[in-house]
Parts: sequence; structure tokens; C-alpha cells
Amino acid sequence: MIRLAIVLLTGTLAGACSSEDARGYFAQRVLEEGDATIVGLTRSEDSGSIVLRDASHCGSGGEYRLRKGAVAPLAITAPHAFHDRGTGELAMRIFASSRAAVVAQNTVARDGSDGCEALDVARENEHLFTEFALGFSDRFPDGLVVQLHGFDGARRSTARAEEAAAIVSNGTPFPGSDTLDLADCLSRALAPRAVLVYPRGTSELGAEDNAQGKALREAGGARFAHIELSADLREAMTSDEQLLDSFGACLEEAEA
Amino acid sequence: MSLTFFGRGIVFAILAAFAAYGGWAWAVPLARYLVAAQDSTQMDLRIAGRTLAYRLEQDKPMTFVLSQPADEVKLLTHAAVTDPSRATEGAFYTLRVALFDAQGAQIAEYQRTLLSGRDDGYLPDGRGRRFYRAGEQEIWGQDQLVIQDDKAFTRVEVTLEDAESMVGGVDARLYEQRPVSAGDGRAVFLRRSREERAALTAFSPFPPEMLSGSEIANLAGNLWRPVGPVGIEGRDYNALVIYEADRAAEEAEW
Repeated sequence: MIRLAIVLLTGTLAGACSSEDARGYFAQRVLEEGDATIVGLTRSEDSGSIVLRDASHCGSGGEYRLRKGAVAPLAITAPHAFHDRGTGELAMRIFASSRAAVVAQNTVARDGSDGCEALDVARENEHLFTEFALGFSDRFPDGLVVQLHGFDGARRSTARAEEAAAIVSNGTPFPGSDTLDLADCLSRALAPRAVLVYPRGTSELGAEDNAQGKALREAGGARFAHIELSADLREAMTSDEQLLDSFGACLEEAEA
Repeated sequence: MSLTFFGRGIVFAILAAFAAYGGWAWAVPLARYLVAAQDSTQMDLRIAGRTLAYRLEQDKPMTFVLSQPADEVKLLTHAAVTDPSRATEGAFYTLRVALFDAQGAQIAEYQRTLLSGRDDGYLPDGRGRRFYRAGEQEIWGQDQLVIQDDKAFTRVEVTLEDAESMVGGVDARLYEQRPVSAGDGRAVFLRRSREERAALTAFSPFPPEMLSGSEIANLAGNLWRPVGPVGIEGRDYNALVIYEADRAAEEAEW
């Protein structure tokens, strides 16, 4: 309903009352033309990218950077950029060094901070973050939406998950060839760290309830990859440019 | 009460409209789901585990640096055969392993010729078979070298010296003992998966539940972890993901 409410309140999309119309509008006007007014975001430009951001205090709409010019159909997202420390920075840096079309992250912490209400956009079926994923899927039906998350090994219930550097899932119990290809690439790039594939490698952190993953599957367009990163790996990629480049190259390869 | 022809027509039209909407809304997602499920089912029949190995290059040492000085490491290797049609029991290859101390001085060198058995470890139904997801090479039996020395070493160099012509490559994995502090042994052991615990207690006449705290702590000292080669993948070495048709709990990465 949020997407419809935004459309109707702004009044810019006269007569477009279905979510399909709103989605199409998001895909065309926001992702292609960078028109932010329709979704209540501010617009600015930064080094070849259009930046759309919910700039209001406690504004939970998120931040979306759209690359101008030729792009690869890849969206890199960090829905818990504050809580999963480092994921927002890593997403931005991978975007900067790749040809990814979009990078997106949340603007309000999932556990609440600065007096703002907590919001986990990865669990919100009706949210701009989900709308963005669907709009991206309409714009790039063969594209790939990657979500970067962080996990605390000490809080995992099995040693295998605790010791993993990354856990890869497509949000279903069926990994499929695409997910295995991505996991294989990450295994090579991050060697000798353990890269697990959900659900055979570990039964944890499979993201089967992820709102964007579910929406993309139902829409039947772009693919979804959910990657959980250990604290050690996030720290290593933050300081090791080569490692981060290898990781980003795997995302670009997975998109192709 | 019976419906008139017009009434039946309306009911039929409503049902047809529902069916058409359902097909329009759900056909594509349902088809994708079924394809994914079928794909995964086929995968599950063949794949139970995956692990990483490093392709040795002839006469070029592959260097592994340990996380701390050790007096024992395990080296797992196998031959990848390009032409498996030849009638043979296995493929021969020769490795050279050199050990270096923390100062960089070589303290030992070994040369071993190994036979990678053609059907080693396979069960009749195919479980135990290792394979690459891409390419034509066939993975033959795995060999294990336990390398020990009286002096502690920190660096291991492995070189492929020679191999039969049908051997397209030899892959290696090196494992070092995982450091476990005395107080952590029990927790480390209990957090392993059921398969790993079973593997660790395979030589004990008692099940894991009947082992004492000190016995469990000792078993935890037998945990090994992989060591990666020095350098950058693709430039200094090539890594390959090996899939297994059966779970080898102590080795499988997933």
C-alpha cells in the first residue's frame, strides 16, 4: 500500500492506481530518468551518479544511487547498513569500482537510533526498498539484485556457520545453478575462507522470508542473491582493496 | 433449483475469468519455481558437498604459510584425468614437499610418487564421487600425506614433479591443526555438526554422549582447518571448487 499511497499523495501519477502501474512508473521515471519527486526523495548528483535519498529526519525511504550511462544490470543493496557494520560502505565501494546500475541502502537503523522508529526494510513487503527492487526487475528483467548482510559468528547455532566467511542464498531452499556459480566464484575469490550455500552448507541465514527476495520471485524478473558476510570478512574487505575487487568481480560475473 | 442457460453462462464466465486471472498472475512464477525445484532436485541427487582445492603447476612450487609453527600438516591430493578411457587402475604422479622454518631455512624435503586410484572411495550408487561442475576432467582417488617433522615449520612448498600423460592436473589441499585452548575444547566439539562429531569419535568404542570432558577436549584437538596458498587467485594460483556426491563431513565446505 505504501507505493500506492506515495503515488496517490503526490498526485503525479494521475489515474495510476494499480501496483503494477506504480512499479512501472518506478522503473521508468525513477530508475531511468532519476525523477525522485514521485517517491518523495531528494535528488542530487555525485560523480556520475544520481543520488535519490530520503533526507528527512527519521526518513525511512532509503538511499538509491543510479549510475548514468552504460551500466551492468546489477543492483547492490545493503538493507541493514547501520546494524550490519560495514555493509553500506562495501556496497558503495563495489558500486564505485564496478558498472553496477544501482546501489541502495537503508536510511533508518533496523533497531532504531537517534530517536527514530526501528524499521527492517528487508522484512517490509510494502516499502520503497521493495518497490525499488521490483522497479529494477522491470527495468532489467535479466538482472541481479544482490543484498549484502553481516552476521555475528558467535551468535550462530552451529560451528559450520560460525566459522563461515560468507553464506550465499537465493532466498529459497533450492540454490540452483546461478547461486552455485556465484558461490563457486566467491569460494575462489575469498580462498581459503569457507563460503557456504544455503541450505546444504548451513541451515541458517537463508533469507527465505526476505521481502525483496519474495517480491522478486513472485514478479518473475530479476534474480536475487542474498550474501551474509562475517565480521572478519567485512573487516578484511574494508582494508584489502584486492579482496574487495575480487568479491565485486564475482557479483558482476553472476549478473552476466 | 436449476440454473437457466443464461445463469450457467454467467457462472462459467466468472469461473473462466478467475482461471484466466490465476493463470496470468501465477503461471510464470509457478513455472519458474518448478524449474528451480527440478533443477535443485537434480543437483541434490548428485551434490552433497563442495570444497576448494588448488591446482598444482608442474615444476612451480605452491606455497602455503601456516598460521603458527607446527610439526604436522595434512596434504590431500588427487589426479584430474583428461582421458579416463584407458584401462588402468589409477594414475601416477610425483610430488615434492619442502618444509621451511620461521627464518626461511629449509628443514626437510620429501619426494613421493602417489597412485590416484580410479575407483577409490566410490560406492556402487555413485556416492563418494568427486567432480567439477564444469569441464571434462574426471577426479580420481584422493591421497593423503601426513607430513611431520621434529622441528616446527611455518611454510610448506608443494611442487608437482611429474605425472602420467593422462593426468590433466593435480589438485592439492593443505590442512593445519586448528588451535583450541584447553577450556574451549568441549564447546568447540559440541558445536560441530552431528556428522563431524561422529567422524571425530569414529575410533572410540563409545558414542559422543558417553565421552568424558577431557576425552572430548582431546578430540577437539584433532580438528583441522584448510590453509590457502600464498598469492592472488588467478594470478599466482588457480582454485577449483570440487563437488562431492556424498558428504565427507570433515572436508565438505557445505
